[in-house]
Amino acid sequence: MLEIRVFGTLRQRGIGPRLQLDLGESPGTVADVLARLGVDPAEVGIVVVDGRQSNLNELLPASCRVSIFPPMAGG
Amino acid sequence: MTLLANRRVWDGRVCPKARKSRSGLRCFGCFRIHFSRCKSRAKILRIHIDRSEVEWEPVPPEYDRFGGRALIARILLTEVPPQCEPLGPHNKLILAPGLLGGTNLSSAGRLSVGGKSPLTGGVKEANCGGDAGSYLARLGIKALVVEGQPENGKMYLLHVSRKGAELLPADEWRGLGTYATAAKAQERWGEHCTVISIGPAGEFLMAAAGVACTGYGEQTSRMAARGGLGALMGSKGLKAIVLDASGSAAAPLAEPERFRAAARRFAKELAENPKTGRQGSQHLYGTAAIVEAVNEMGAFPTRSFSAGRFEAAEDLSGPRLREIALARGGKAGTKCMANCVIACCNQFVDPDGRPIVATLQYETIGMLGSNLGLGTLDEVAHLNRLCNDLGLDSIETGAALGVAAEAGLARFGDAASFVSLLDEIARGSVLGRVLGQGATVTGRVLGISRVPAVKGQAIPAYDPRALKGNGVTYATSPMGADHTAGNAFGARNEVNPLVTEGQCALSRRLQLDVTILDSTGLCLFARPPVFADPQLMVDLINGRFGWGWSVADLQEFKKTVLRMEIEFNRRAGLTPADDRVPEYMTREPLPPHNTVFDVPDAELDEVFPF
Repeated sequence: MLEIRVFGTLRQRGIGPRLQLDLGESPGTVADVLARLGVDPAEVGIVVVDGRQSNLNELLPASCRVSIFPPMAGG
Repeated sequence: MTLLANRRVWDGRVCPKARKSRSGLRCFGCFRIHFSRCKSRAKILRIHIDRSEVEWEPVPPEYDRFGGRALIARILLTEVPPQCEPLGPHNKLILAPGLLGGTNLSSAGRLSVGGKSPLTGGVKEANCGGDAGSYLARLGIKALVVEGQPENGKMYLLHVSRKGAELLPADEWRGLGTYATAAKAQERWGEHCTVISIGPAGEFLMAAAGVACTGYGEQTSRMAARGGLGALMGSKGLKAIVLDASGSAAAPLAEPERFRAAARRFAKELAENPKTGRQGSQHLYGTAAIVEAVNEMGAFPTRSFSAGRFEAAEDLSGPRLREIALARGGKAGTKCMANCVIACCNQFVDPDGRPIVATLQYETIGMLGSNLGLGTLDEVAHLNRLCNDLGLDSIETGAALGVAAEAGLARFGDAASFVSLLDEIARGSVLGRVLGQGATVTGRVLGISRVPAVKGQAIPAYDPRALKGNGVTYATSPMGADHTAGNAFGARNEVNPLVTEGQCALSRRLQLDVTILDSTGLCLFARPPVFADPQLMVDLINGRFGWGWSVADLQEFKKTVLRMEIEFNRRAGLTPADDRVPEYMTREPLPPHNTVFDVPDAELDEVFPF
């Protein structure tokens, strides 16, 4: 079971802010999950998987927390 | 030869750009008609506090190609004995706009303030938004240098306009907070003036004191906060600087077409950027946009850097800030300076709609919020207001208050206990004077060894154990622990923030790149277009000055800035032993990742091989 959390401007897409997604034992990559959610990767800045900064090509474990943030930078 | 004969002599010098035109004497530097004095050439304005005199000086050739942070480093190396007492007569307070300040370029009006730091004992430049940088540049002032020390502890106020500069006695302004100082000055000289001031903390010569500036619209308090520059200004007996730029024109352009084309492209790219455009996080939520991301990554300082995740982070987040501010009649998405297409600022108001602080920012939310165990924006904004009014750096103060809480003088999560510590600072009690010296002194006096600081300057709101690139920046920046010197947050897909590999190279690149922003007056938020294409920055600089720089010249400039700063620190007595994060962060694991800062010392020593 994936726990998906969506932040900031991405919430205006009508996704989240929190949802559960059951993609079985092999949920695929971060990019696969974004596609399933209907989120354009260009609208995503930072993906954090179980607290660790991730990237689009990373394979997800069957059970984890995926936090999806829009593009942002520190001031 | 005809042209030569028409050159006008001004201030004892020939303006090389003045030519006869039909309507009078036209300056081909700034394209205005001049009948008396050409202001197209910038000046250094020196304030001799000891003699109570002001002096306009032509820019020495060796300063000509520097601005902002770079110019501060150059002046310090040239004029200030590196081993001088920071609060003594030989140190100088320097205010400088960036090279692109005073033009119509977006987001380029930041003010750099500098000197030898009373906090770190080394080089210091801190910059802030607002109108001051732009106003100084429009007044033709390349740098304002305050020298000497006042007789018998007198206090002064400096007023600068197109008519000249005047040093006025200001003993009756003593003890005023920065908000009251700005209000009083604007009442007297007009709301169109911008006011740079110190509060009681600066007057008390506290090393946590910053320099406050008014800004555009509702932006009443922007701080060049770090490194104790408020104490340096206090040691000069200078309570405030009032800048009146009315009647002044934009800074002259050597190649107007080139500049305008580059400036248009720059603004367009910022407006279309997914971060900084109208739908971008940074416009909508400001610096606070990153609260939840830093928290999720486990680097959000919590209860004096004892954890990296705070349970109430959502209540401190950028979206929450925007929602509360707008619901109460406050503002979000406003500008701190007149020319800015990003507009990342806010005005946080109380439940009755009365302004508390503008702008409430990420660093303050981290250091006065989660770092003190406080989980509401109202509490944070209240503490922020008190810090701004006292003229205190909210980062240094937040770190010092966290150390004080660890020593049992306040309770994490209890805002009132921290308010009473700020009251001690306001009263100038012995405890207040300890806290006002910042986190390092507070830890030493209270017997706390877990002090989040490098070179005596508090670590800002990214814990280096979970964002190791920032740890390298904190350790090796000539400024001491400073996130703006090279912020690795968000360096997506490049370097894993939790591992040691690659952090030094990342930090080095970021630290070099930031020097050009700090030296041109550009905001950190405005970095995407010029980082993506260095030629754009070259075009802006060449368009402004006609120097014919190449990208290679730009890269060399960046190195020169860091070389000068490192050299000043070396002469001041700083060594590689100062380029370290606090020891406890190398052995005390930080939840939730339970990592320590473990970038090897040998690698830290190689970050700047020049």
